[in-house]
Amino acid sequence: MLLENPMLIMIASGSIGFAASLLTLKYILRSFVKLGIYGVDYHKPEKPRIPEMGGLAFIIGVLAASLPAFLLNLYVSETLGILLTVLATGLVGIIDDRRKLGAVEKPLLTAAAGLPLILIHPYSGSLVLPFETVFRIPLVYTVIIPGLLAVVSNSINMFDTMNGTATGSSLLVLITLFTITIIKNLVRGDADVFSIGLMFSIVFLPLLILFYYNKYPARVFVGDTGTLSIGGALLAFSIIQGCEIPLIISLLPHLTNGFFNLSSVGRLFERSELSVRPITVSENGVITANRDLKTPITLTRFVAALGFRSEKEIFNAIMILCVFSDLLAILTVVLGFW
Amino acid sequence: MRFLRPASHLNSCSRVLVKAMGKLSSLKPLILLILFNYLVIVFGSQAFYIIQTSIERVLRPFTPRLLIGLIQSAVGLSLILLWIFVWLKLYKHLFTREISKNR
Repeated sequence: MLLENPMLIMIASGSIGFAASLLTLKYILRSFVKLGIYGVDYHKPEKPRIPEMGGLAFIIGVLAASLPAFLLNLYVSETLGILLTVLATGLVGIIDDRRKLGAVEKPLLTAAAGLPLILIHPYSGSLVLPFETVFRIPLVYTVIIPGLLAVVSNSINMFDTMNGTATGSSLLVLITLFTITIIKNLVRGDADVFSIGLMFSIVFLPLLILFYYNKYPARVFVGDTGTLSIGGALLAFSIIQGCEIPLIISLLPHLTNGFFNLSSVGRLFERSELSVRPITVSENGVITANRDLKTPITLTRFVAALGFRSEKEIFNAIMILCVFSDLLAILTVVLGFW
Repeated sequence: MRFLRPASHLNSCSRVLVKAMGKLSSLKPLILLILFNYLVIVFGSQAFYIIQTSIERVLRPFTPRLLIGLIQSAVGLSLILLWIFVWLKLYKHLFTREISKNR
């Protein structure tokens, strides 16, 4: 009887994911610096060594949170769609964190990570544009998914410039998508709140705990393992729930940042390839925008140019931009534009 | 005193709101950029759809299907490139204006 209670299954799923993520993070915090898996936090005056690849905790959390759905045979294709996308993008991230992938290899491999989602096919294959314009394009969708996955995952990866920016903004995007899906389904009157809630609980708590440890001052870096797999989870969630346009609106700060990184350099590149940094950090931690016009115009550099000086101020400013675009996405649904 | 408590809560709420609005006004160029892209996505996609269906309706009686498809693709691509061009110019213009201010 208890096993049939949807709320209980969601709570169990979330709790298992939370516990698995927390335990993995505790292990990462204890061991990764000793194992040589760490990065230097250049935005702090004392330049501390921070454990890298914290995203592993997210991947393990999502894997553990999916187990109740498989054991109880509930929404298996949807859960498998999210899980395999997270695992595939996470694998690309792990490879990139351990032996740097090339600037072209990385987007190609993240695009290929969309294959499991295409094969499992837990989506309708219709693209809903604003004002209820619906395109039924099941074949074109198989091309759109890898392309979108490469764009979304890599834009979240490029957004990971300050403590907590990638995880915090992704958390906001996930909450926005959840809210939108609930509103949309309730308006239509065919709400399968359990399906939406289950998908949300599988991703939300592992991401929340990761954000807690990654926020300023970071105790762990998520690495490409984290950013790419978080991007995979967000895209899989939006495709399964059919809310691709709200995802794009929510990700406008990320897309702007990624697009202008690429357009200022003029090609695909890796951050390690840049000889000049977009921002400079003084001894006392004051951040200033590089005035050299040839340097990539990242969002962080733009925000620093607007007068935000410390890492915390820049983080808050970026979060305000993310909240603004998330509110626009919700407003689009509330006003009936989508 | 009982009547004073809600007022003090309101004060702290309004202080947070004022602070957030202050930050929002400092971020004006980026907010403008997000708004521009938002309008393009919401209303531009509808305009895009109307243009594409109008092309098909006008050309269908006397043009082969393949040619209509090619014209639609060319028009669609040009519109997307126009959006990216304006987005790029706007971003660069706003950034250059901010960086040239002596902060």
